[in-house]
Amino acid sequence: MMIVGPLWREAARFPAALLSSVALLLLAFSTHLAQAAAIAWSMSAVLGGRPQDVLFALLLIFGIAVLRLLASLAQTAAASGLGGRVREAVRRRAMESALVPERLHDTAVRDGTVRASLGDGVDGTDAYVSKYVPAVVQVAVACPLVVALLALLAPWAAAGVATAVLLAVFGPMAWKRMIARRGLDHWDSYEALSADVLESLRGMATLRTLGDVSGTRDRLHARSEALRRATERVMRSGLAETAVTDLAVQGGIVAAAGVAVWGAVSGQPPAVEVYLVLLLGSEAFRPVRELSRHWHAGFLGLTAIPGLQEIGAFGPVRREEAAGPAPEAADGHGADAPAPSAAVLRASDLSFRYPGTRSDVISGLDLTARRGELSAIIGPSGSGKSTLFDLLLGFLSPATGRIELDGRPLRTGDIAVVSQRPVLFAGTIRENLDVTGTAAGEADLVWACRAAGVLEEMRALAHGFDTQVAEAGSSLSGGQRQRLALARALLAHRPVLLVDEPTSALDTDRAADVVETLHGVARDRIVIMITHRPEALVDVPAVLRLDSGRLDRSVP
Amino acid sequence: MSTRAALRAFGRLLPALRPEWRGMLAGYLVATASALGLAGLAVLTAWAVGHAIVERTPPGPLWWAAAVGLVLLRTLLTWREMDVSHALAYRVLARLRMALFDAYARSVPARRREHSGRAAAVAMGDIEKLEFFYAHTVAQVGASLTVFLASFAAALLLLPEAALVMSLGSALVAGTALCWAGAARRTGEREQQDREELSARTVDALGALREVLGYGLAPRIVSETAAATARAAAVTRRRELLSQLTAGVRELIVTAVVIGVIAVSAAAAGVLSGPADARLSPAVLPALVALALAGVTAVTEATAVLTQLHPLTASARRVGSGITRPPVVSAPDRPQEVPSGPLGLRFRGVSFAYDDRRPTLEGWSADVAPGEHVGLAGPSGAGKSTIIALAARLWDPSAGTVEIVAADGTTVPVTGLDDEAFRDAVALVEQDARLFHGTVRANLLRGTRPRPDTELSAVLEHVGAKGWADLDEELGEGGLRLSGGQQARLCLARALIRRPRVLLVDEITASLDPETERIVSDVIAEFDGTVLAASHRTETLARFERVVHVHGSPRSARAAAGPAPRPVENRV
Repeated sequence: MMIVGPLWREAARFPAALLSSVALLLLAFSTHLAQAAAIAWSMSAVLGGRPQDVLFALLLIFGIAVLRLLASLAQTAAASGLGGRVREAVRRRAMESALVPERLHDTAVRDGTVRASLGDGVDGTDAYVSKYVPAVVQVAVACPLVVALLALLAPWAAAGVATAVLLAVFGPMAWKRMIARRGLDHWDSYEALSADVLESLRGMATLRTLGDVSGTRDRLHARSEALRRATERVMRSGLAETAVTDLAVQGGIVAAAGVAVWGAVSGQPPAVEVYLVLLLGSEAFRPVRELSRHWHAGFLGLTAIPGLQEIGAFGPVRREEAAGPAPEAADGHGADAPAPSAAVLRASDLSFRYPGTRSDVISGLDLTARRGELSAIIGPSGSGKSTLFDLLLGFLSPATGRIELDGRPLRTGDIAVVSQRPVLFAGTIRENLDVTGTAAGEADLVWACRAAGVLEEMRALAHGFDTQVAEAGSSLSGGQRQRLALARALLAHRPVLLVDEPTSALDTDRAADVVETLHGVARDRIVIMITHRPEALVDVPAVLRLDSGRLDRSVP
Repeated sequence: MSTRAALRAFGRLLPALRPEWRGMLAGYLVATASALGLAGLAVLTAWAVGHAIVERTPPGPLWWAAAVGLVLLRTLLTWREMDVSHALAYRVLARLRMALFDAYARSVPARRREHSGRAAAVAMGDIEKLEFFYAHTVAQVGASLTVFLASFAAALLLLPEAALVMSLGSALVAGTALCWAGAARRTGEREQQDREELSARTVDALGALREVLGYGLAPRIVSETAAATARAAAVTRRRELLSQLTAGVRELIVTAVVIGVIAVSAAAAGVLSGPADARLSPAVLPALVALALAGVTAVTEATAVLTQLHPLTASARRVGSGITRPPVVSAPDRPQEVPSGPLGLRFRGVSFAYDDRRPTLEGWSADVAPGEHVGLAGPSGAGKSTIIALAARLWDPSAGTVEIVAADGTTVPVTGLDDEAFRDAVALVEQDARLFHGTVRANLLRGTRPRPDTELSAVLEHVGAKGWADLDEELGEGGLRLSGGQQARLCLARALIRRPRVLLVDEITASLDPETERIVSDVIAEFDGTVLAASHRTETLARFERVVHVHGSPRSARAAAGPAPRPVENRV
């Protein structure tokens, strides 16, 4: 018997579902006991030559069997409901902890690992919660009950059966630690393989052109074999459990039979009791066998538990589970929606350095950007422009300094951003454009696309705005993606617009259009643009130069 | 999905078992011995009890020895059987994983773009699901049938009516394998789709994390994920109910068999009609019931295995169609060597269409002489990237040929070349070039033989990466440590390390600042070999000896000379 604390706590959060699945399981089990009694009765009736009793007992057996069918169906419904709710809660928390800004700068995290944990890892908990947890309670309640019944009929048989049940249930705990350790290895290998598989699928075009398909294959093969070995090791320790259980069950049944035979030969009890001892002896092990079966069906899924625990999937119940969005959820939603317009964004004395590095990327930076005119930032590659954007967006926390919008702290939800390599979601163009749900109908989409200079191309697509975009927008050209991202940012109607090299993927004519649009947008929003294109800097009154972590007014 | 389609789905996965026939035979033998041992133990016990009650004779020492022996044997065999069958299944799964990777390596990126999150769900989750199929089907079903036949024969000797009841019941039980099979397959299909969908959404959200956070989409994604999980849980509940229902029906049939056997043996023992007709000693009754139960239970177990396969059909089909995906480039029967010396490219009437769209290129032709540096110009979406991808042999054109031109003017179609030699000669820097999790060094060396660090450092310095790209530095997935411009330069360095003879470049300067653009353009201009580079930037194109204009389909065939400083006549 293996007790996985976090999953018991999760199950206990749904007491009604847990109680009903346990109660119905016990009801189904009690029909087995009733049936054993009825069979013993029928056999002794055959022996005693009482045809009336035989018929009646046989009818009773069938009636009990029908009752059990109904009870087990109800139990299955309750139990899988419990498993489903736990899965939902765990996945919700795991997803929440995956979508955090810290991931943006963490070179150790891998998307395939998270994919595996959130998908297969969370699904793996279902078997334990919906099957194993009720089965443990059943063992705890039903086995002592049957042993007590047996003790009334044949104390020695009861003693034998009790010993065997204890051995079957607690024997495997002797190597619990080993199972846990091997489980950890198994999940590590699964995650590692999953990460490599996803990365190679995403980068297959690159791998093929690099001629690295066979090299990647070798790497994956090594990972796959490591997973196979780890799985075998977990399986073997799990099978030892099964073998011990089986030994105890069969041994216990034979022992009960021996006692029954001895009783019958010595001639004390009536035949019905002998049969009953035999049948109850077998029934006492039914919960144990079920426990073992469910263990076998679910133990691989349990290896993900430590990994899920690490990413916070079993954290305390958060507020949003009860009702309403999380604190960050307020960004751009509901009552806390961003102000439609703001006059001035001011950053003062900002400093930042990446952990483990020796110097500041941004140091003592001051920045003032106003509504009414376009602000531009220039600076060489690697001068910290992306870091500055991440600080403004709140993806990084500055070591010193403040960023304020009209005198209050700037929030992520105040900013619409067009990054250098924008990513689109798999879905339609429309869904990608109106990502925040703030667009006011088709006309708004058309306006934004025209302003971003991408309208004609979108109209030329087979299904217009309803055309499906492939993963990460790879079915569109880089320039199209960039302009769609600009349209998306315009549609978010946020008071601050950050654009990173908005014209880099555009030809000269289109670039001029986009810059004109930005000038127009800057009339009622604060627009900050990183750019190096001289054509984009025409007519920009405020050009700032980012150098060694500071901003200086540049001569245009 | 019909039963026939389901059989086909599983049938496609059987060849993976071919190298495992020894293991399967061993699995069958051990499983049969184990099941026979269990049945024997049950019959033996019941036999002793029956005789003890009726004749008041205790079993002899032989019985005890047999019982204890069977208990130990059964324990050992159970363990052994599971060990053999699971180890076999895991070997097969490992083999399938590699077969699937090979298929993806031949067919990704496909002309119809797919989501890597879905493919990853198949490669990991669906393959794992098939463990049950490989571990339990063949050996266990075989063992169960053997046990059934043995019990049937024994029952026939003891009481033919009992054997008849048992075989009737078994036939009914076997029939339940088809009960609600369609519904079970459909629920399995829904679950499979849900898993794929979740995987795709997760990958999407993580890939666009900056956008997700910037637009405050995380709460929506989280609640959509939770809602999808709730829907998936409802499907799971339905599958569980179906499986419980069929199991319950089977159990009812088994109960009916027990009742029937008791009834017929009661009749045979003369209970119902009078002792005059007694043909069976009541002492045998428990043993007979145990025997019938063993026989019908064996069939029940075999049927349960088959029933559990229904929901797995969807996974079987996805994996099966994964490993038989058509390749996107044809492999030559007799690969030709890549000619030595400088290489040029020739496009002859090349057409190409992505699956679900209008043709991108139609009958496009152009020449790039060995050693020449040619720029590709044209509006967004005109097909510049497609031309580069075809030259890099990511796909085969739907019509026309792409050829390698040797210095002496002879040409070889790229479809006939040895792939490895071709990759050595031709390097590509894509628009979305991908850096991989690992160090700078590991990234530079992917797909090429080891090189000394001094050589790597020299190339890094050449692309202006010396200050920020340390060889031992971890880049993170997709090179997240670096800015866009830095990534582009590192990808260029990775291509140069290989010392290719043809360098293909797709929009590499698209998102670079002028300084980086100048560095990259300088590096490409200095490259000693043939260059074909797509770009929309006049500044970038200005550095090429010749510029070819691509107008997209259908006017693409008329390529015109570009505004290059030294416009050269276009050899179309």
